[in-house]
Amino acid sequence: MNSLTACAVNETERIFLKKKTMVLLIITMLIPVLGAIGVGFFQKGLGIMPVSASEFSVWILGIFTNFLLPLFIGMAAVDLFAGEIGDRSIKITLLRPVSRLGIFSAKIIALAAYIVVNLGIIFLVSSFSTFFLEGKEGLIWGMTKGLLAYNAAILPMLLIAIAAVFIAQLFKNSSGALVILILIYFGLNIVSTVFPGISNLMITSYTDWHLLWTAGWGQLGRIFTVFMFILSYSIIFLASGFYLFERREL
Amino acid sequence: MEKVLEVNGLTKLFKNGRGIRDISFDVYQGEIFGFLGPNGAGKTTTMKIITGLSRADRGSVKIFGYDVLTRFEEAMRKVGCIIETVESYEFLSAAKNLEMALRYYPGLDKSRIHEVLELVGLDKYKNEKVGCFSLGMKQRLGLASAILSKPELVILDEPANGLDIEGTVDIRNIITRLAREQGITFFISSHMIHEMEITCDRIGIIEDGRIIRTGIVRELLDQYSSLEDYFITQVREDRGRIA
Repeated sequence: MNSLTACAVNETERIFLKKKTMVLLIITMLIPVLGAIGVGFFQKGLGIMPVSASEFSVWILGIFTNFLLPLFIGMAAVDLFAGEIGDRSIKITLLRPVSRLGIFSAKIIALAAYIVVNLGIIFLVSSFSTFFLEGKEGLIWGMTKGLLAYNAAILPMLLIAIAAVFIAQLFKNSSGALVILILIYFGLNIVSTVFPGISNLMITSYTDWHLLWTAGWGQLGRIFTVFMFILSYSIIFLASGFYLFERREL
Repeated sequence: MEKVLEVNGLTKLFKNGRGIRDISFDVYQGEIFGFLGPNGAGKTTTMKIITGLSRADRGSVKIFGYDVLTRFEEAMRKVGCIIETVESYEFLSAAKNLEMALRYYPGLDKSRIHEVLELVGLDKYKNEKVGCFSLGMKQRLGLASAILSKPELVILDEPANGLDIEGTVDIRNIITRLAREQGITFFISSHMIHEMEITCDRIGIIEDGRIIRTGIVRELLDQYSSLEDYFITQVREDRGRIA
């Protein structure tokens, strides 16, 4: 195993060995099930159909990508950077034969793995949860579109992770970093709502990018534009984040 | 003898004016080199720069001929260290901590974990979470982690920190055994002068951020009654020169 692979495996394993991560994953599994039971109750009891079975998994994805997933990702990013710098456990990795670029890349890879696992779990559980719902016409097509949407959601979530990594490194303790991250996230959302003209510039406005992928060929141009925004912001935050990480002294 | 560590003109000054100035010394293969000085003399700062945790304002460090700034991976491949404090992932077991460290060294298998844990006397606690360990046990785990990779150079900053008398003697015995039997080079810092006298082959005295003397312990003990006597004499002479 080369140094980068070893470091990436360690960072990823450490995220998933934490009790906090396990609890969050269980919550992640429960939400689609509870959501489906709730929607099923509306369908059967009140005759209202807020969302059909075929659209359920994409609907659930929207709930996660708007707040829950950015929060979970922010927590993981804070743990890997501000948390490890705060409790000085980052020294364990810094003193091994792996460059700072390797460590930084490994941590980003670990966050990407965390995002993929989360999205995978949400997709699987939400797909199975449609069992509680009526209106299963077009379910297979809906699930195919869902799969596309879940794959598309990886990129904006990764951007959130990369931005969180940059911000987390400005702090020496995890709690302060997490509070500021949440405030910034809500702040950007409020700015986007109050000034819709500049919402395209806010990284938080790309969290529903997956919807464009399910809206048909007509959205290709918009998909490309948003992709370029995501790519540009990712490069800026990666470069700035690595600059801070490389210069960090313990 | 081959140089394994070359430190040239290291200088790093902090905002409060303290730090290290023009530190230069070499450590040779197979020796136990001690860095002796009072708290705040600059031992940890020097060791942090040597291991890449911190950057010098001036000067250079080469480990096995590789510059730590430009060839860090190669420089650290055959190095194990404890710097300032022993760190471990407290939510993981001792064995899991070492398993993660082992991944950086492809030539070694998992039996090495058992070997080093047995060597430091922690084998029976290998499945316990490190968060439940005493300070002394954590220090032993730190040493296990430092020697896990079968390094050729081990850098230990105050290795007896938090250890009781028995633990201190155990660590000393492990260090001397590894140096004599396996030819591992040690670079150790400490303010515990008696420990340094019994453990080290050669010492460098650091005071107020400068190396004021280096010498072979056996030769110094021919001239002075103890290392403590030598240390006090050198420090006073140096202060007199500065005044």
